[in-house]
Amino acid sequence: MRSQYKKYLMWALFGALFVLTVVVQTVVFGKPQFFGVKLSLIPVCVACVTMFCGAEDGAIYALACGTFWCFAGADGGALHIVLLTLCGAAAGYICDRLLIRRFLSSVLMSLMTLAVCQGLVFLFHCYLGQASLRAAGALPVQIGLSALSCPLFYLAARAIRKAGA
Amino acid sequence: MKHSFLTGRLKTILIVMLAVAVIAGVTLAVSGGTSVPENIVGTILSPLRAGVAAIDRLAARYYSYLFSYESLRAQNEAMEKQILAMEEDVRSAEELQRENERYKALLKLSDEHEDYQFLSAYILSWDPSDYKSAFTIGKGTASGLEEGMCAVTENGQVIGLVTRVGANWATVTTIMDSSLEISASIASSGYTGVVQGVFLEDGTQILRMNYLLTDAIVKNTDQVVTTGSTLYPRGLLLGYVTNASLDETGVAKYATLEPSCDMNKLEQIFIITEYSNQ
Repeated sequence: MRSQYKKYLMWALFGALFVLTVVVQTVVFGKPQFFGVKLSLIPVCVACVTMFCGAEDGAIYALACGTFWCFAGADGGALHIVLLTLCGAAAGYICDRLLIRRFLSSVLMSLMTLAVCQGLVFLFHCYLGQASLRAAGALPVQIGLSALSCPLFYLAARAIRKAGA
Repeated sequence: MKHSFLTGRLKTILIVMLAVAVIAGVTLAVSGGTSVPENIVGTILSPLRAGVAAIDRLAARYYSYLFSYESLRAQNEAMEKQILAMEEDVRSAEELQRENERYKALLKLSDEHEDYQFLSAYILSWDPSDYKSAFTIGKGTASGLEEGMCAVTENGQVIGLVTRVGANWATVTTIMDSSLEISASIASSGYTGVVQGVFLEDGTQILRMNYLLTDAIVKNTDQVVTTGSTLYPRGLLLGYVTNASLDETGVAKYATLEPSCDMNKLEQIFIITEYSNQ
Protein backbone atom coordinates (compact mmCIF):
# COMPACT_ATOMS: atom_id res chain seq x y z
CA MET A 1 0.00 0.00 0.00
CA ARG A 2 2.80 2.35 1.02
CA SER A 3 4.88 1.49 -2.04
CA GLN A 4 1.84 2.08 -4.25
CA TYR A 5 1.36 5.51 -2.67
CA LYS A 6 5.03 6.28 -3.23
CA LYS A 7 4.70 5.32 -6.87
CA TYR A 8 1.75 7.69 -7.36
CA LEU A 9 3.73 10.43 -5.65
CA MET A 10 6.69 9.78 -7.95
CA TRP A 11 4.58 10.05 -11.11
CA ALA A 12 2.85 13.18 -9.77
CA LEU A 13 6.25 14.74 -9.14
CA PHE A 14 7.52 13.71 -12.58
CA GLY A 15 4.41 15.33 -14.04
CA ALA A 16 4.92 18.47 -11.99
CA LEU A 17 8.55 18.62 -13.13
CA PHE A 18 7.44 18.54 -16.75
CA VAL A 19 4.75 21.21 -16.27
CA LEU A 20 7.28 23.41 -14.47
CA THR A 21 9.71 22.87 -17.35
CA VAL A 22 7.05 23.92 -19.87
CA VAL A 23 6.31 27.08 -17.86
CA VAL A 24 10.00 27.97 -17.44
CA GLN A 25 10.68 27.16 -21.11
CA THR A 26 7.97 29.54 -22.32
CA VAL A 27 8.10 32.28 -19.67
CA VAL A 28 11.81 32.57 -18.85
CA PHE A 29 13.53 31.12 -21.94
CA GLY A 30 10.85 31.89 -24.51
CA LYS A 31 12.34 35.15 -25.71
CA PRO A 32 16.07 35.37 -24.88
CA GLN A 33 18.50 33.99 -27.41
CA PHE A 34 21.97 32.74 -26.54
CA PHE A 35 24.45 32.82 -29.42
CA GLY A 36 21.48 33.31 -31.74
CA VAL A 37 19.44 30.32 -30.55
CA LYS A 38 16.81 29.62 -27.93
CA LEU A 39 17.29 26.93 -25.31
CA SER A 40 15.21 23.79 -25.59
CA LEU A 41 14.60 22.26 -22.16
CA ILE A 42 11.70 19.90 -22.93
CA PRO A 43 13.74 17.11 -24.60
CA VAL A 44 16.32 17.25 -21.78
CA CYS A 45 13.61 16.91 -19.13
CA VAL A 46 12.01 13.95 -20.94
CA ALA A 47 15.37 12.22 -21.51
CA CYS A 48 16.46 12.58 -17.87
CA VAL A 49 13.16 11.27 -16.51
CA THR A 50 12.72 8.39 -18.97
CA MET A 51 16.24 7.07 -18.40
CA PHE A 52 15.17 6.35 -14.81
CA CYS A 53 11.83 4.81 -15.82
CA GLY A 54 12.77 2.15 -18.35
CA ALA A 55 11.50 1.69 -21.89
CA GLU A 56 7.80 1.07 -21.27
CA ASP A 57 7.07 3.46 -18.41
CA GLY A 58 9.40 5.97 -20.06
CA ALA A 59 7.44 5.72 -23.31
CA ILE A 60 4.14 6.32 -21.49
CA TYR A 61 5.60 9.32 -19.64
CA ALA A 62 7.08 10.71 -22.88
CA LEU A 63 3.79 10.15 -24.69
CA ALA A 64 1.92 12.12 -22.02
CA CYS A 65 4.56 14.87 -22.11
CA GLY A 66 4.53 15.01 -25.91
CA THR A 67 0.74 15.30 -25.97
CA PHE A 68 0.73 18.03 -23.30
CA TRP A 69 3.53 19.94 -25.06
CA CYS A 70 1.77 19.60 -28.41
CA PHE A 71 -1.40 21.21 -27.04
CA ALA A 72 0.60 23.81 -25.09
CA GLY A 73 1.60 25.26 -28.47
CA ALA A 74 4.76 23.37 -29.38
CA ASP A 75 6.34 24.34 -32.66
CA GLY A 76 5.97 21.23 -34.78
CA GLY A 77 2.70 20.20 -33.15
CA ALA A 78 1.94 16.46 -33.18
CA LEU A 79 5.48 15.72 -34.39
CA HIS A 80 6.57 16.15 -30.77
CA ILE A 81 4.24 13.36 -29.64
CA VAL A 82 6.02 10.90 -31.93
CA LEU A 83 9.55 12.20 -31.37
CA LEU A 84 9.38 12.46 -27.58
CA THR A 85 7.72 9.04 -27.23
CA LEU A 86 10.29 7.31 -29.44
CA CYS A 87 13.20 9.09 -27.74
CA GLY A 88 11.76 8.36 -24.30
CA ALA A 89 11.36 4.68 -25.10
CA ALA A 90 14.85 4.53 -26.61
CA ALA A 91 16.45 6.34 -23.65
CA GLY A 92 14.70 4.00 -21.20
CA TYR A 93 15.71 0.92 -23.18
CA ILE A 94 19.34 1.98 -23.62
CA CYS A 95 19.67 2.70 -19.90
CA ASP A 96 17.97 -0.62 -19.06
CA ARG A 97 20.27 -2.69 -21.24
CA LEU A 98 23.47 -0.85 -22.06
CA LEU A 99 24.22 2.02 -19.72
CA ILE A 100 24.35 2.65 -15.99
CA ARG A 101 21.94 5.32 -14.77
CA ARG A 102 24.62 7.90 -14.05
CA PHE A 103 25.11 11.53 -14.93
CA LEU A 104 27.13 10.79 -18.08
CA SER A 105 24.33 8.56 -19.36
CA SER A 106 21.83 11.37 -18.82
CA VAL A 107 24.06 13.72 -20.85
CA LEU A 108 24.22 11.16 -23.67
CA MET A 109 20.47 10.56 -23.61
CA SER A 110 19.78 14.31 -23.51
CA LEU A 111 22.07 14.90 -26.48
CA MET A 112 20.38 12.07 -28.40
CA THR A 113 16.87 13.37 -27.63
CA LEU A 114 17.84 16.96 -28.42
CA ALA A 115 19.49 15.94 -31.70
CA VAL A 116 16.47 13.90 -32.81
CA CYS A 117 13.80 16.42 -31.73
CA GLN A 118 15.52 19.63 -32.79
CA GLY A 119 16.97 18.04 -35.93
CA LEU A 120 13.65 16.73 -37.19
CA VAL A 121 11.75 19.90 -36.26
CA PHE A 122 14.40 21.85 -38.19
CA LEU A 123 14.00 19.54 -41.22
CA PHE A 124 10.23 19.92 -40.90
CA HIS A 125 10.65 23.70 -41.15
CA CYS A 126 13.03 23.29 -44.09
CA TYR A 127 10.35 21.17 -45.78
CA LEU A 128 7.79 23.93 -45.16
CA GLY A 129 10.21 26.49 -46.54
CA GLN A 130 10.45 28.38 -43.26
CA ALA A 131 14.13 27.55 -42.73
CA SER A 132 17.10 26.91 -44.95
CA LEU A 133 19.43 23.91 -44.70
CA ARG A 134 22.27 26.43 -44.61
CA ALA A 135 21.04 27.48 -41.17
CA ALA A 136 21.77 24.00 -39.81
CA GLY A 137 24.91 25.37 -38.17
CA ALA A 138 22.76 26.75 -35.36
CA LEU A 139 21.58 23.25 -34.40
CA PRO A 140 24.78 22.04 -32.67
CA VAL A 141 24.91 25.32 -30.75
CA GLN A 142 21.31 24.90 -29.63
CA ILE A 143 21.84 21.24 -28.71
CA GLY A 144 25.05 21.99 -26.83
CA LEU A 145 23.64 24.92 -24.89
CA SER A 146 20.40 23.10 -24.05
CA ALA A 147 22.37 20.09 -22.80
CA LEU A 148 23.92 22.36 -20.17
CA SER A 149 20.62 22.14 -18.28
CA CYS A 150 21.09 18.37 -17.98
CA PRO A 151 22.58 18.35 -14.44
CA LEU A 152 19.50 20.11 -13.06
CA PHE A 153 17.08 17.66 -14.62
CA TYR A 154 19.28 14.67 -13.79
CA LEU A 155 19.41 15.62 -10.10
CA ALA A 156 15.68 16.38 -9.97
CA ALA A 157 14.73 13.13 -11.71
CA ARG A 158 17.09 11.10 -9.51
CA ALA A 159 15.68 12.68 -6.34
CA ILE A 160 12.09 12.00 -7.46
CA ARG A 161 13.00 8.44 -8.44
CA LYS A 162 14.51 7.90 -4.97
CA ALA A 163 11.37 9.30 -3.35
CA GLY A 164 9.30 6.77 -5.28
CA ALA A 165 11.58 3.78 -4.63
CA MET B 1 18.61 -14.14 -22.80
CA LYS B 2 17.66 -11.85 -25.60
CA HIS B 3 15.82 -8.68 -24.60
CA SER B 4 13.76 -7.33 -27.45
CA PHE B 5 13.17 -3.59 -27.65
CA LEU B 6 9.69 -4.05 -29.06
CA THR B 7 7.85 -5.87 -26.28
CA GLY B 8 4.11 -6.40 -26.53
CA ARG B 9 3.37 -3.50 -24.18
CA LEU B 10 5.73 -1.16 -26.00
CA LYS B 11 4.12 -2.06 -29.32
CA THR B 12 0.75 -1.10 -27.81
CA ILE B 13 2.21 2.19 -26.53
CA LEU B 14 3.61 2.97 -29.99
CA ILE B 15 0.26 2.24 -31.63
CA VAL B 16 -1.44 4.52 -29.08
CA MET B 17 1.25 7.13 -29.79
CA LEU B 18 0.50 7.05 -33.52
CA ALA B 19 -3.23 7.26 -32.85
CA VAL B 20 -2.77 10.20 -30.44
CA ALA B 21 -0.41 11.95 -32.88
CA VAL B 22 -2.86 11.57 -35.77
CA ILE B 23 -5.83 12.70 -33.64
CA ALA B 24 -3.81 15.66 -32.29
CA GLY B 25 -2.61 16.61 -35.76
CA VAL B 26 -6.13 16.44 -37.20
CA THR B 27 -7.60 18.29 -34.19
CA LEU B 28 -5.08 21.11 -34.54
CA ALA B 29 -5.54 21.28 -38.31
CA VAL B 30 -9.33 21.20 -38.53
CA SER B 31 -10.24 23.16 -35.40
CA GLY B 32 -9.54 26.44 -37.22
CA GLY B 33 -9.21 28.33 -33.98
CA THR B 34 -8.46 27.00 -30.54
CA SER B 35 -9.25 23.32 -30.02
CA VAL B 36 -10.70 21.95 -26.77
CA PRO B 37 -7.45 20.21 -25.66
CA GLU B 38 -5.48 23.40 -26.37
CA ASN B 39 -7.99 25.38 -24.32
CA ILE B 40 -7.69 22.93 -21.41
CA VAL B 41 -3.87 22.90 -21.45
CA GLY B 42 -3.74 26.69 -21.87
CA THR B 43 -6.19 27.23 -19.00
CA ILE B 44 -4.08 25.02 -16.72
CA LEU B 45 -0.85 26.74 -17.75
CA SER B 46 -2.14 30.34 -17.69
CA PRO B 47 -2.12 30.90 -13.87
CA LEU B 48 1.22 29.08 -13.60
CA ARG B 49 2.66 31.23 -16.35
CA ALA B 50 1.27 34.36 -14.69
CA GLY B 51 2.92 33.36 -11.39
CA VAL B 52 6.29 32.55 -12.94
CA ALA B 53 6.11 35.70 -15.11
CA ALA B 54 5.50 37.81 -11.98
CA ILE B 55 8.52 36.20 -10.28
CA ASP B 56 10.56 36.69 -13.44
CA ARG B 57 9.62 40.38 -13.62
CA LEU B 58 10.41 40.82 -9.92
CA ALA B 59 13.81 39.17 -10.36
CA ALA B 60 14.54 41.36 -13.37
CA ARG B 61 13.51 44.43 -11.38
CA TYR B 62 15.75 43.49 -8.47
CA TYR B 63 18.62 42.74 -10.82
CA SER B 64 18.16 46.06 -12.57
CA TYR B 65 17.80 47.83 -9.25
CA LEU B 66 20.93 46.26 -7.76
CA PHE B 67 22.90 47.09 -10.87
CA SER B 68 21.97 50.77 -10.75
CA TYR B 69 22.30 50.83 -6.99
CA GLU B 70 25.91 49.65 -7.21
CA SER B 71 26.82 52.35 -9.70
CA LEU B 72 25.09 55.00 -7.59
CA ARG B 73 26.98 53.93 -4.48
CA ALA B 74 30.25 54.10 -6.34
CA GLN B 75 29.44 57.61 -7.48
CA ASN B 76 28.20 59.00 -4.20
CA GLU B 77 28.57 57.04 -0.99
CA ALA B 78 27.15 59.86 1.06
CA MET B 79 23.73 59.29 -0.47
CA GLU B 80 23.65 55.62 0.46
CA LYS B 81 21.31 55.97 3.42
CA GLN B 82 18.87 58.09 1.50
CA ILE B 83 18.88 55.66 -1.38
CA LEU B 84 18.25 52.73 0.94
CA ALA B 85 15.28 54.55 2.47
CA MET B 86 13.85 55.25 -0.96
CA GLU B 87 14.58 51.88 -2.55
CA GLU B 88 11.19 50.36 -1.87
CA ASP B 89 9.35 53.39 -3.22
CA VAL B 90 11.58 53.60 -6.28
CA ARG B 91 11.12 49.93 -7.14
CA SER B 92 7.36 50.12 -7.17
CA ALA B 93 7.24 53.64 -8.60
CA GLU B 94 9.35 52.73 -11.62
CA GLU B 95 6.89 50.14 -12.75
CA LEU B 96 3.91 52.39 -12.01
CA GLN B 97 5.54 55.21 -13.93
CA ARG B 98 6.18 53.03 -16.96
CA GLU B 99 2.59 51.85 -16.85
CA ASN B 100 1.37 55.43 -16.44
CA GLU B 101 3.36 56.58 -19.45
CA ARG B 102 1.89 53.81 -21.55
CA TYR B 103 -1.66 54.73 -20.48
CA LYS B 104 -0.96 58.41 -21.23
CA ALA B 105 0.14 57.50 -24.75
CA LEU B 106 -2.88 55.23 -25.09
CA LEU B 107 -5.15 58.08 -24.02
CA LYS B 108 -3.73 60.18 -26.84
CA LEU B 109 -4.35 57.32 -29.26
CA SER B 110 -7.91 56.96 -27.93
CA ASP B 111 -8.49 60.69 -28.47
CA GLU B 112 -7.34 60.36 -32.08
CA HIS B 113 -9.48 57.27 -32.67
CA GLU B 114 -12.59 57.58 -30.55
CA ASP B 115 -14.03 54.39 -32.03
CA TYR B 116 -11.21 52.20 -30.65
CA GLN B 117 -11.87 50.13 -27.56
CA PHE B 118 -8.73 48.79 -25.88
CA LEU B 119 -8.00 45.93 -23.54
CA SER B 120 -4.60 45.98 -21.87
CA ALA B 121 -2.63 42.83 -21.10
CA TYR B 122 0.83 41.86 -19.97
CA ILE B 123 2.96 39.36 -21.88
CA LEU B 124 3.34 36.14 -19.88
CA SER B 125 5.44 33.93 -22.09
CA TRP B 126 7.03 33.72 -25.53
CA ASP B 127 6.99 30.84 -27.98
CA PRO B 128 10.41 29.18 -27.52
CA SER B 129 10.68 28.15 -31.17
CA ASP B 130 13.34 29.78 -33.36
CA TYR B 131 10.91 29.67 -36.29
CA LYS B 132 7.91 31.37 -34.71
CA SER B 133 7.26 34.76 -33.19
CA ALA B 134 4.32 34.60 -30.80
CA PHE B 135 3.57 35.24 -27.17
CA THR B 136 0.90 34.41 -24.64
CA ILE B 137 -1.10 36.92 -22.61
CA GLY B 138 -3.15 36.29 -19.50
CA LYS B 139 -6.51 37.38 -20.89
CA GLY B 140 -8.96 35.42 -22.98
CA THR B 141 -12.59 35.02 -23.90
CA ALA B 142 -13.55 35.84 -20.30
CA SER B 143 -12.21 39.37 -20.90
CA GLY B 144 -13.90 39.69 -24.29
CA LEU B 145 -11.02 38.67 -26.52
CA GLU B 146 -11.64 36.99 -29.86
CA GLU B 147 -9.43 35.53 -32.53
CA GLY B 148 -8.28 38.01 -35.14
CA MET B 149 -8.21 41.05 -32.86
CA CYS B 150 -5.27 43.36 -33.40
CA ALA B 151 -2.59 43.95 -30.76
CA VAL B 152 -0.87 47.34 -30.70
CA THR B 153 1.47 49.32 -28.51
CA GLU B 154 0.32 52.40 -26.62
CA ASN B 155 1.49 54.44 -29.62
CA GLY B 156 -0.62 52.56 -32.15
CA GLN B 157 2.21 50.47 -33.58
CA VAL B 158 1.02 47.07 -34.75
CA ILE B 159 2.39 44.13 -32.77
CA GLY B 160 0.35 41.30 -34.23
CA LEU B 161 -2.97 39.50 -34.22
CA VAL B 162 -4.68 37.30 -31.66
CA THR B 163 -4.52 33.84 -33.23
CA ARG B 164 -5.68 31.56 -30.42
CA VAL B 165 -7.94 32.32 -27.49
CA GLY B 166 -8.75 30.28 -24.40
CA ALA B 167 -10.83 31.11 -21.37
CA ASN B 168 -8.06 32.98 -19.52
CA TRP B 169 -5.25 33.10 -22.08
CA ALA B 170 -4.62 34.11 -25.66
CA THR B 171 -1.78 33.75 -28.13
CA VAL B 172 -0.72 36.78 -30.14
CA THR B 173 1.25 36.02 -33.30
CA THR B 174 3.49 38.97 -34.07
CA ILE B 175 3.94 40.61 -37.45
CA MET B 176 7.46 39.11 -37.52
CA ASP B 177 6.01 35.59 -37.88
CA SER B 178 5.98 34.17 -41.41
CA SER B 179 2.43 32.83 -41.00
CA LEU B 180 0.92 36.31 -40.75
CA GLU B 181 0.19 38.37 -43.86
CA ILE B 182 -1.11 41.90 -43.43
CA SER B 183 -2.39 44.17 -46.20
CA ALA B 184 -0.44 47.39 -46.04
CA SER B 185 0.27 50.54 -47.93
CA ILE B 186 3.06 53.07 -48.03
CA ALA B 187 1.64 56.10 -46.26
CA SER B 188 3.28 58.75 -48.46
CA SER B 189 2.64 57.23 -51.90
CA GLY B 190 -0.29 54.85 -51.37
CA TYR B 191 1.36 51.82 -53.00
CA THR B 192 -0.16 48.68 -51.53
CA GLY B 193 1.37 45.31 -50.74
CA VAL B 194 1.41 42.52 -48.21
CA VAL B 195 3.62 42.66 -45.14
CA GLN B 196 5.00 39.37 -43.88
CA GLY B 197 7.76 38.26 -41.51
CA VAL B 198 10.65 36.31 -43.00
CA PHE B 199 13.21 34.13 -41.23
CA LEU B 200 16.63 34.56 -42.77
CA GLU B 201 19.26 31.83 -43.07
CA ASP B 202 21.30 33.28 -40.22
CA GLY B 203 18.29 32.92 -37.91
CA THR B 204 17.34 36.60 -37.86
CA GLN B 205 13.85 37.81 -38.62
CA ILE B 206 12.98 40.67 -40.92
CA LEU B 207 9.77 42.27 -42.11
CA ARG B 208 9.06 42.32 -45.85
CA MET B 209 6.45 44.15 -47.89
CA ASN B 210 5.74 41.97 -50.94
CA TYR B 211 3.80 42.41 -54.18
CA LEU B 212 4.65 46.07 -54.76
CA LEU B 213 4.35 47.28 -58.33
CA THR B 214 7.64 47.05 -60.23
CA ASP B 215 7.48 50.78 -61.02
CA ALA B 216 6.61 51.75 -57.43
CA ILE B 217 8.85 54.50 -56.12
CA VAL B 218 9.81 53.60 -52.60
CA LYS B 219 12.00 55.72 -50.39
CA ASN B 220 13.88 54.73 -47.27
CA THR B 221 12.12 55.66 -43.99
CA ASP B 222 8.74 55.73 -45.75
CA GLN B 223 6.05 54.74 -43.25
CA VAL B 224 4.12 51.54 -43.95
CA VAL B 225 0.63 51.39 -42.47
CA THR B 226 -2.24 48.91 -42.45
CA THR B 227 -4.86 49.28 -45.18
CA GLY B 228 -7.56 47.99 -42.87
CA SER B 229 -9.65 44.85 -42.98
CA THR B 230 -12.28 43.07 -40.96
CA LEU B 231 -9.48 42.12 -38.52
CA TYR B 232 -7.63 45.41 -38.02
CA PRO B 233 -8.27 49.13 -38.56
CA ARG B 234 -6.53 51.13 -41.25
CA GLY B 235 -3.69 53.54 -40.63
CA LEU B 236 -1.86 51.62 -37.91
CA LEU B 237 1.90 51.86 -38.20
CA LEU B 238 3.69 48.64 -39.20
CA GLY B 239 7.22 49.83 -39.91
CA TYR B 240 9.62 51.94 -41.95
CA VAL B 241 11.14 51.08 -45.33
CA THR B 242 14.85 50.30 -45.14
CA ASN B 243 15.46 48.87 -48.60
CA ALA B 244 13.64 47.94 -51.81
CA SER B 245 14.38 45.58 -54.65
CA LEU B 246 12.82 43.32 -57.28
CA ASP B 247 11.67 39.99 -55.87
CA GLU B 248 12.85 36.51 -56.95
CA THR B 249 10.30 36.35 -59.79
CA GLY B 250 11.30 39.71 -61.18
CA VAL B 251 7.68 40.73 -61.77
CA ALA B 252 7.11 42.50 -58.47
CA LYS B 253 9.01 44.64 -56.08
CA TYR B 254 9.50 44.12 -52.37
CA ALA B 255 10.67 46.37 -49.57
CA THR B 256 12.36 45.35 -46.37
CA LEU B 257 10.99 47.12 -43.33
CA GLU B 258 12.17 47.98 -39.88
CA PRO B 259 9.33 47.15 -37.46
CA SER B 260 7.84 50.23 -35.84
CA CYS B 261 8.19 48.73 -32.37
CA ASP B 262 10.96 46.75 -30.73
CA MET B 263 9.49 43.32 -29.97
CA ASN B 264 12.24 42.60 -27.45
CA LYS B 265 11.15 45.48 -25.24
CA LEU B 266 7.45 44.67 -25.16
CA GLU B 267 5.98 44.28 -21.71
CA GLN B 268 2.39 45.51 -21.86
CA ILE B 269 0.24 45.44 -24.98
CA PHE B 270 -3.21 46.71 -25.93
CA ILE B 271 -5.75 44.75 -27.92
CA ILE B 272 -8.22 46.69 -30.06
CA THR B 273 -11.46 44.96 -29.18
CA GLU B 274 -13.76 47.26 -31.13
CA TYR B 275 -13.37 49.81 -33.89
CA SER B 276 -15.42 51.38 -36.60
CA ASN B 277 -14.47 50.22 -40.09
CA GLN B 278 -15.53 53.50 -41.74
